[in-house]
Amino acid sequence: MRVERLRLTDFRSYRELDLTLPAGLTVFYGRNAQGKSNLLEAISLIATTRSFRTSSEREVIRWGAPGRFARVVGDIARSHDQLEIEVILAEGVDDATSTTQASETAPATPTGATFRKRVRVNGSPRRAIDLVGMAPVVVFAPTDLDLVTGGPSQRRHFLDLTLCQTNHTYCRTLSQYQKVIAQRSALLRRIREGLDTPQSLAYWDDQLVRLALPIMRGRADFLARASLAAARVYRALASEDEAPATPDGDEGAARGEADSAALRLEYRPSYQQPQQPPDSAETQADQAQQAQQAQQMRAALEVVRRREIAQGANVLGPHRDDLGFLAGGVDLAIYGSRGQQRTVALALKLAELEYIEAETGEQPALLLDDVLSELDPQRREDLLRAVHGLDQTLVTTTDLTIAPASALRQATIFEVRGGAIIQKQTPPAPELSEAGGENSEVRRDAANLSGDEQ
Amino acid sequence: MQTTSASITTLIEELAKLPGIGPKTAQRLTFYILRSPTDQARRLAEAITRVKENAIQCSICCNITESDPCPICANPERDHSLICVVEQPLDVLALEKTGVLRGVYHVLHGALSPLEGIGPRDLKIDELAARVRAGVSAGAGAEGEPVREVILATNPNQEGDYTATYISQAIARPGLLLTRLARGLPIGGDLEYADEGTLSRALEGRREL
Ligand SMILES: [Zn+2]
Repeated sequence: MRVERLRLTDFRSYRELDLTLPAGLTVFYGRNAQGKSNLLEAISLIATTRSFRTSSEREVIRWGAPGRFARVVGDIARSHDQLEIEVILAEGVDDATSTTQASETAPATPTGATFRKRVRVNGSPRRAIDLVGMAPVVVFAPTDLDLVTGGPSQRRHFLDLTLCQTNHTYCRTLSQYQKVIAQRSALLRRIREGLDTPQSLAYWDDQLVRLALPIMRGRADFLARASLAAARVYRALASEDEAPATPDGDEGAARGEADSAALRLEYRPSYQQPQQPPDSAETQADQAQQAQQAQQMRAALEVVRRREIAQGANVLGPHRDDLGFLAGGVDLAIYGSRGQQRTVALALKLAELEYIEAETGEQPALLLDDVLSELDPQRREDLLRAVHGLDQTLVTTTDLTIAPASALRQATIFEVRGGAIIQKQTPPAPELSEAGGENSEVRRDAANLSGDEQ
Repeated sequence: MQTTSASITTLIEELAKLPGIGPKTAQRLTFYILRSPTDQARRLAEAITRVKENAIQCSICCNITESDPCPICANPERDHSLICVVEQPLDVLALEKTGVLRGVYHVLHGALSPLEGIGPRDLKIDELAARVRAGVSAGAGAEGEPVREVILATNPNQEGDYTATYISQAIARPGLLLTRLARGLPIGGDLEYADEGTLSRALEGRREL
């Protein structure tokens, strides 16, 4: 899919913006705080209903916006149809008159003001959750570079965002699961304090198991399928200088080098299902097997019961899952080089893109927010080569000169300065692309432009 | 609002505390009351005072009422062996509007929610258990007869389901039928816009034609 036109009202630094976006590679360059990333944020908002940059969504409403609301409208070209998606974020709207059926009132904020998100698709009100997956995107931002070394919650978030964009049932199950987890941990604390009895847990155990198992199945399925794509992309991206620093000296390093391309994603659930005997898993009816799994997990909850009550916390379940990255049998989170870890993060994102396309038939737009400067020149080139041919890739950077020349030649380039967006280059028309003179001229232009930026 | 009198400011502030009323509506209401006849304003003030002074809880069903027992519990025409358990007094109003239920009610005044610190002691669950144990109450026709059925009409969300489950365990006894309201599609709703949860529950609860 591709965002053909983006209109913003009082979104971040933009009072009013109407921008036509081309297919292929588009680069937005400009100094920091000029509004480049706001464009990608707006697109991620219509794709996932969430901002990838902030958990406090009221921040996106332009300071001093007269209506105290921000609006994002995207014209989306999909493989078989065309959508106009509108998301309005409004705060502190007084009275119920402006409320529609489709609005979602967030819980009252500390200030007491309410915050609403209204979604329309082709003019019809929709719930926010219905939007997820309609116009899929894959975002790669600087924080994603820590995917391998950061906390497990970051890796769970990656899994959930991918799965939510491809599977509504997963999304709904996850949101119910999160409510169950919150209630259940509150109940565990109440039991510890003698305000409730352990018998009250039975209902929440049932709910936890009922919701946890499909979430874990969804994650395991995704990882099994994304693993191949991630390994392939990783092999293409990993440069030769990246043998993992194995703990066992020269011999290990040599072996590591040979195997460095064999990336494997490893699902590490907090609740490990007992291994089924190989044939019984095949012959058992799906439903019977799931009933058995539920029973096993309920039994596992019994085992940790006292610990859970003592800690006042949920010990087992997908909210404690993790994800590991192995190359040549070595855990890259521990033994990988910084470069390797970043390559894994990149490979994972590109595998996510392939997975979403395979699942939905819609190729996600790729949003690369300010990541080029975080990569070495070789990886920058590899990355932009890898994304060549995608429906739409939007890149922001502070420094145009670091983008590989070969990729820039085919790109549309915008300069973003003080909230204004100025088109600096259109990609060469297909019939001209053979003429080297044209291209090098364009390239010189781009270089000059970035020159006066410095 | 420096120029406005203190009494106006006070009324605006008090009205703004009501649910669903923001500062702008509170202002509009205040100036509406200011312009309306003295009589009308007095009736409103009295209605507000009276509702607090006269409203009591029915000693049988815990609904809010002005007489004890409430008109429903005192009505011998109703089936007192059928108790419909709801979360709020407003739910009684909604169910009464249907005119379908011939039984009586029990109002819990909330749903269990560990997260909000609402436990069994905070709801009228013990009162319900005692009511079921004692059988149909005196003064309601067939007194002493066992309660035949309890309909758990708590809300169809996690808290409501938890409350229903908890109560069904707390009051279960041989011969007592425990039922839960069927959940389905809203009438006049569009199948296309029903969420998956509603749709799947409606499918589970389908009936033969
Ligand atoms: Zn009563």
